[in-house]
Amino acid sequence: MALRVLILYLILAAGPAWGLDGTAILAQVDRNLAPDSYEMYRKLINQEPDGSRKEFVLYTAKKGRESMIALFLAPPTDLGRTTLRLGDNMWLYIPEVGKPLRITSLQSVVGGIFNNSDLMRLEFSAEYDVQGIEEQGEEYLLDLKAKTGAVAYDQLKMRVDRKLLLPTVIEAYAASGLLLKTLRYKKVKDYGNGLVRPSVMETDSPLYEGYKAVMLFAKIQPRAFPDEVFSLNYMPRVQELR
Amino acid sequence: MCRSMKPLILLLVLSPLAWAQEDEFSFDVEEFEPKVFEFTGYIEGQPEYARANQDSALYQLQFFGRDPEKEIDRFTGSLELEGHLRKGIASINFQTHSEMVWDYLGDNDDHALYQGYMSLQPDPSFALDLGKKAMRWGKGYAWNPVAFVERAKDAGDPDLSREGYWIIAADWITIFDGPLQTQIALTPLILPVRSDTNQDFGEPGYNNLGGKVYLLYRDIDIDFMFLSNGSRNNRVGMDFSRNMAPNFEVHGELAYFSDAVHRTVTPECKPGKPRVEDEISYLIGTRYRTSNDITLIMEYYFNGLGNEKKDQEQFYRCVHQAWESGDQDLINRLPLGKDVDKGPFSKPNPMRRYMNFRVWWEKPRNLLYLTPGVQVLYNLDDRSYSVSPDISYIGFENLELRLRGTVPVGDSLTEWGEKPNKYKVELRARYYF
Repeated sequence: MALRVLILYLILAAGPAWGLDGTAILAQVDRNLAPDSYEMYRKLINQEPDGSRKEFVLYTAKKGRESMIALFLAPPTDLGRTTLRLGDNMWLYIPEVGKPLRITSLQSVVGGIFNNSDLMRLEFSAEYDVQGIEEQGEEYLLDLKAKTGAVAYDQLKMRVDRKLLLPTVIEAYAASGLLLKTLRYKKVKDYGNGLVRPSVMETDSPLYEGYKAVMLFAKIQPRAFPDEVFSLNYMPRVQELR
Repeated sequence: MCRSMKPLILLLVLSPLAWAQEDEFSFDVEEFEPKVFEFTGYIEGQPEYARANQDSALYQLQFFGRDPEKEIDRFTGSLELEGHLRKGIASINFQTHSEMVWDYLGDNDDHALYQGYMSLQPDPSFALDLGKKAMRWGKGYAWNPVAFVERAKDAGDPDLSREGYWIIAADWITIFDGPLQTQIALTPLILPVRSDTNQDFGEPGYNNLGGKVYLLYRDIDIDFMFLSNGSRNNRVGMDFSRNMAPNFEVHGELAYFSDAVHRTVTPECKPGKPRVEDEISYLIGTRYRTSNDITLIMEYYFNGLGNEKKDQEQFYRCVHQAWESGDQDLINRLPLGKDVDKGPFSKPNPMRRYMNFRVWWEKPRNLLYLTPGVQVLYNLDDRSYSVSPDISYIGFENLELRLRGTVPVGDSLTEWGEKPNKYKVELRARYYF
């Protein structure tokens, strides 16, 4: 893995001569953030201006560029809730309701700054086209445009560490050009299996002054899943995967 | 002070802050390792106040032979427990619901096993469930005409958990590769009805066969379902749901019922000859979300099993007649059912054409966790309706709060004009553990 990053870095370091391939960089950023098919645990923390917090814990399984399912393990109010994403389709299963309902990437099942798009992101290169790329010191600045209207943020400005090929800061914009939120990736950690990536993502939004949302990543590991796991009928049974 | 010492001192002063910042957020993932037995639930308190509508038919049914009440205070305490025991391919799951009600009737308690079943899952594509389980069919929010094997839901509070039936059910999922992204899931089931099992489902002595087929085809959710002739008359149905745009969903349901029985009441206030006809029911609805987090749901429901306006009015007339004359025999003759709340004329939404309009605003003016909303249920047959504004807050740890008012509006002999309350206010506090 380290060798692959090094080779790609050496190739990209000669950028001005060869021309920068933003699409290849974005694809490598995706691969560096997670394997193609994997499972992981995440903690989401919504922090209010007075310092009070609300925390959520999710178990997540992902397969390929189309499929992701996430199960809420905490808090008790959300226990058992499950979100499924297949391409642009998204559903929410609430145990009390007893059946999956269609939701959109714009909604927030956790009620804070994070919306469903942040929770159920598949891969950047699956949702965005690279419109431009610049070298700025130790970083690349990628200008990304959503491939479809189903994506929550119309444009992203992604800063990528040139050595590690990992995102450091992402600014998310609406189609109107309004800055919706800023995501900051921090604390690069070795998760084993050659995966070295940020373990923390902090988010703030000019729309919610003083509020902060944090996502902590743990136990990211490659795992193959059968396709049936990513289906509506399997949503009430996701716990069986763990 | 030596200038060169300044950075060192600054580092020493700031390092604890930096350390605190580093450890500000922690995640002990081992805490969330799967457990063999999991136990959760909630406890809920719901005080409510209602101003009685003493001229209404449903008030008169409730207070027939009792001291009248102008104001009705009620407190309902609920406890719902849920547990899962998992071992290998098997799991045992249960959900209980206990309720205590304090009101003008005194103290009453009710305890029910909502679900209790064993599940065998040898493979992610196959599962077999045996026991009491709540099935949920249909895409509608307020009503589900295709919900053939479940207890009726409250259109005003459709997300409440409900008791299931004893069943044997299987679940088989298959995925077809290719550009059409087709998923198929088959859910056949057997629902036995005996004098001591599922007795409120219908006529005893039948092993009712039902089933559902789900397809995800070209981003459309489609279900086909059926229930064979037995304890209930034969019925088939389908539903669909699709996002036409990221923030705009459409859904619908269609059901066909053979030999549906319509109860009637004669001008003499006796049970009339039931009318038996094949009927269809359908629902069409949309869900739209604005850019500032306002969600709107609108649904039209045609209930083929519902009562005609003239039959419903006749029922109300008879209740008023019994109340005015104090004639208990007349009340006894009316088709009320064992439980008045489930009687063919006294249950919620007993007629044929309805509209549901629900709107809620998440994070209004950027206030996280707060959600104000309002629901309007409209009876298109008699032009009566109810308006229910509510506000909920989920900002406290493990606690959900909801304040809701309901105002029924309608003339005499209309559904909401004959509701027992002029208005009702309720507060629900639910603590999860």
